[in-house]
Amino acid sequence: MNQLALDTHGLTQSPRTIGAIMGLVMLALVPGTIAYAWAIDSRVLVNIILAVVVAVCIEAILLALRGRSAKPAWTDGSIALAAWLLALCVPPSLPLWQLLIGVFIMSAIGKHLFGGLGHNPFNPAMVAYAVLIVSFPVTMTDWNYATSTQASQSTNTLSNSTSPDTSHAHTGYVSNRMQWDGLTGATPLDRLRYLQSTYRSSSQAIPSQTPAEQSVLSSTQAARLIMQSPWLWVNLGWFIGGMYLLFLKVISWHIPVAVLSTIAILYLLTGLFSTVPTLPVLPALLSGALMIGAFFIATDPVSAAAGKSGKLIYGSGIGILTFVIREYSVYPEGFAFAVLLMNICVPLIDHLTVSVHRQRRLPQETTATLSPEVIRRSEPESKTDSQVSRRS
Amino acid sequence: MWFSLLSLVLGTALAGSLLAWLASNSGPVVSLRKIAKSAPGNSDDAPPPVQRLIEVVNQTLPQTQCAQCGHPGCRPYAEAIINQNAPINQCPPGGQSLIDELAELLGRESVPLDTSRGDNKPAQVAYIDESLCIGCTLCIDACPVDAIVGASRQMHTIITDQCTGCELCLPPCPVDCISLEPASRTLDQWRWPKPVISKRS
Amino acid sequence: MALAQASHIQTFMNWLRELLTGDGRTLKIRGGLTLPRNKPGLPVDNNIVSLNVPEHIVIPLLDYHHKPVTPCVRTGQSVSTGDKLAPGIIASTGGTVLTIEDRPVIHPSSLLAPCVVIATRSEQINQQPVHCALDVPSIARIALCGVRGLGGAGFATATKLERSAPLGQPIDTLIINAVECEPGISCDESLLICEATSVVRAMIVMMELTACKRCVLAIENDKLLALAALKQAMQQLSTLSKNIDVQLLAPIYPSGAERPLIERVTHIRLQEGRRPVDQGVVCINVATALAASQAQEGYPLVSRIITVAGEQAVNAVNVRVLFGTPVRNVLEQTGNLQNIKLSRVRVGGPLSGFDLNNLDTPVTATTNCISIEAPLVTNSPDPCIRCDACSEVCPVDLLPQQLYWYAQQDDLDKSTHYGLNQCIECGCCDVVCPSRIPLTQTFRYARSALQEQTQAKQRATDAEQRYQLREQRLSAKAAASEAQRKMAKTTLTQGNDPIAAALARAKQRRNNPDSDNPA
Repeated sequence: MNQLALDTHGLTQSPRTIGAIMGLVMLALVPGTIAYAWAIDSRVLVNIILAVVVAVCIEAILLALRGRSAKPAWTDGSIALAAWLLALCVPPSLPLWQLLIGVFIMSAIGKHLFGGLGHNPFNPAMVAYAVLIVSFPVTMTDWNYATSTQASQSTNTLSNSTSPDTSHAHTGYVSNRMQWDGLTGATPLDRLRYLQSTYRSSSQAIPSQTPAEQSVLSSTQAARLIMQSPWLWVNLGWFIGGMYLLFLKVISWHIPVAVLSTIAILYLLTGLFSTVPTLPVLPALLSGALMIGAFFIATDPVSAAAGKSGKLIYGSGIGILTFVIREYSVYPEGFAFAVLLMNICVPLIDHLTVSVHRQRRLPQETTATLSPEVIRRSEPESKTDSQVSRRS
Repeated sequence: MWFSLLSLVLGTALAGSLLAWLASNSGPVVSLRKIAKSAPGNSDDAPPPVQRLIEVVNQTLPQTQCAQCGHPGCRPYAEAIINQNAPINQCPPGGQSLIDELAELLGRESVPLDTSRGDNKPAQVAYIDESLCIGCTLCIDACPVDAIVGASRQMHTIITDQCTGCELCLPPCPVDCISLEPASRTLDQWRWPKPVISKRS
Repeated sequence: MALAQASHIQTFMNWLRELLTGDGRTLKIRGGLTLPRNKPGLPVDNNIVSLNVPEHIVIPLLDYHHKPVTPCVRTGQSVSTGDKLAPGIIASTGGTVLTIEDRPVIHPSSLLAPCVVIATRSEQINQQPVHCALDVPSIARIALCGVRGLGGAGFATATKLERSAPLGQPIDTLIINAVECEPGISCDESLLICEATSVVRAMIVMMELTACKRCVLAIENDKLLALAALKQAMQQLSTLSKNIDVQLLAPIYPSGAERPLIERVTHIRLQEGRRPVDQGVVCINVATALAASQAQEGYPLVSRIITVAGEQAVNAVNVRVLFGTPVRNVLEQTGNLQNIKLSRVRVGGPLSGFDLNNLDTPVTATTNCISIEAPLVTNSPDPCIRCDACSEVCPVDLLPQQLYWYAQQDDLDKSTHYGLNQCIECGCCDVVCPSRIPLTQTFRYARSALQEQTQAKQRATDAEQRYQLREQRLSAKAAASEAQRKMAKTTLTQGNDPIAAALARAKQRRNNPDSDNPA
């Protein structure tokens, strides 16, 4: 009789394979992508197709170089999804060679350097994004695209508020480039940053005005900045896609809810206490990269924390960091950095949540019985004792 | 400015206290701390630290009592390791895994097994060919764990459950009727095979 | 997608049923799988078919831990139904002991174990009470009748009950488990439908035996026929059965597993490394309870109901099988033996069971199901993407993906920290894993490695103890001989020198030789 090597259940395996999961996520990206191409810039479609095709090729080559089967490159869909997300995060006007460098970094450094699918501690798309924004700060913050009709219809101060989620422009740099001529784009968050800085200087100049009045006025203005931008439609597209994923249980609710509720609470608190005009809650949630980030980027299972409480901690950590970077750093939006920073914390979070989790199940006596392993682990103290006694 | 500083400090304090709370509730930390308190080493009638350390080393050793290390048994070897700084690579039944474990435990450097003492073999059990045994009782005297039963001019046999496979009964046997065989797995000792996974991406 | 759809529809149907029948609270275990119940390969009716007694039956001489036990019968000896073959093992039918030899048994390995082979007597079939009945329910009689857990683990019922009241721990709740172990099995359901009155009587007997405060019968809410039969039986015996509650559970696998079931029904969080009885709960399978109550009247446990099912099964039925009947015989009598070479036979259910290597192995108390499944398609698994689908379905609240990471690295300390000992090997995580990772088998492997480590540790401790005792004995012996030598020396120096005395005697003899030789 041959010794059995594998003993698996006699039921039909769940049809949700890795490829199916990634396919569903890509399906959920479609409404947002269509909105992006329609309302912002159709060049994004070229970027996506190019990035996906090149990423699959690079992935196949890297897998072959590592002596593995190259087939998963196009069957599991993970690299295609990551390339799609990367193409959505960079400005549509980014030179294609820079985008392709990003794709290579994503596959090689973000993924295969750590051992391929399932072993990468960081979100590969965010790694590539971070490398690109550090390497090519000018092109990566240049949201210069064909201005759409909505932009020209807007009021003077809001005329240029058409732009992307994930711009991480330097404030000084952006405000220098604010030409108000309708040619150079800036994200709504860039505009808000500019308005806040001008507000600070003006409120110092005119102390007679009460802060509360100014705050209400400017908050409404800030809200209008977000809600009237075409980016609203894109963000709604991400939201619909996210809801679809939640409905199909491809992602669990914990991470998106934790991210969004943390952001909402923090904006609510700043709205109450800050002297500088800030966004009301709803526009804050619909601004920047929050929607695509909370539903599609932070939920990447490989680099996210495991377990319910772990996911909640991870999500709220991303929320806090995003808020801090947005409000207090030189970057108007910081979702990518927040995700990368929280990715570092994932092993710690996993360890702690499991400890809490297991603690509830341990009987009271366990601590009293001394297993040899435990004695061995608590031994070093007596070892030093013995060394001391031997020396003396 | 003050607001940003304040919120940063508050946020850090909040996150820090959350993590601290989690850590204080975590399993191994608590149990280790409690054990450190309840450990016999801390009470008055406990054996002195050196004795405890010998005990721990002794528990790590495989207890084959084969004397291949040059010491009469596992406990003497443990005493030699602690008291005379004997090398930790002298135990063939323990093999490299034991050396690594001892190295970690004692803070010494891990060295390869001293094969002049013998090779690491899989678990084995002695069998007496009962048709050849002449009942000389020499093996009974040699067995370090009293795993052989028999009487003078009576056939001997080995209690397989208690045999450590130390081979010490082989040399005294005048008729060479003892052989060592790999320990067979009975149903209660059977273990599931590790699933075979071919590596892919 | 079929799986997900089935679960949605089923959830809706259950909700509707609950609404319409007003069954009261339906409990739902944590995690688990909602599997389609009306899939092909399940028994269509609830009749129990009795099988013919085979020519030879084979009774393995193994205890609960699969350790061999010494037989107390000899070859050629005549035995009758219920006779003791070895401690805790009884003959399931009368006949002659043909031989006692090593044979394959129902086990995932292909190892042999000592078995008693009995050539059955052709004339006797009628079951007779073999031990005289007394008035009081007694645990001793349960042991005498060889009652073992029929749910799947096969733990000796008498041992389980000894730990509970009135002798041991006071028992708060007695749970009678009528939830099927697996979605493909319907042996408990058919038992309830056919013998509802006896089951209710058995529960009353069990309540007396354990002296428990309340008794809960746990059953899935979609077993309508069984519930109706139960209701009728309880109405008939309403005066006695007033302390029995029927607790409905959502039909989720593995609701029938002991620990999740107890936690759900009693709201007690069971602690790792402690038996449920320590926390005042006893959980007994419904068929076991029936067997235990029949033991009170002197009927030994010699047979059980087995579901023969599976995708490839020609004729899916519930059959009552005598212990020791070879699996091949069961399949032959149910008409499932054709094309068996092309499919794989699993014992214990499609999920938590194991593949059988040899069809000539005998049925035991733990064989609740023989399922005939399609042959294994080996797909090499993809890497884990930490999607957490496994922890969502885990009924004991583990993190299988993290546990797998350590278990496949043989890091047993960490695996234990991640709750390896709590894994009930239900197989839910295997089904949902998008990477098709063999999680359950890895956990089984790690668990048995852990067990082996414990056994090795125990052996080492024993060996050391024996070594120390021998050293003590040898040194005591050496000390004794030393003392003897010393004493001899002392006598020597004290003047009573035997040599000098002997020399003196010889001298005397030489001086007057006649005195010694008077002749």
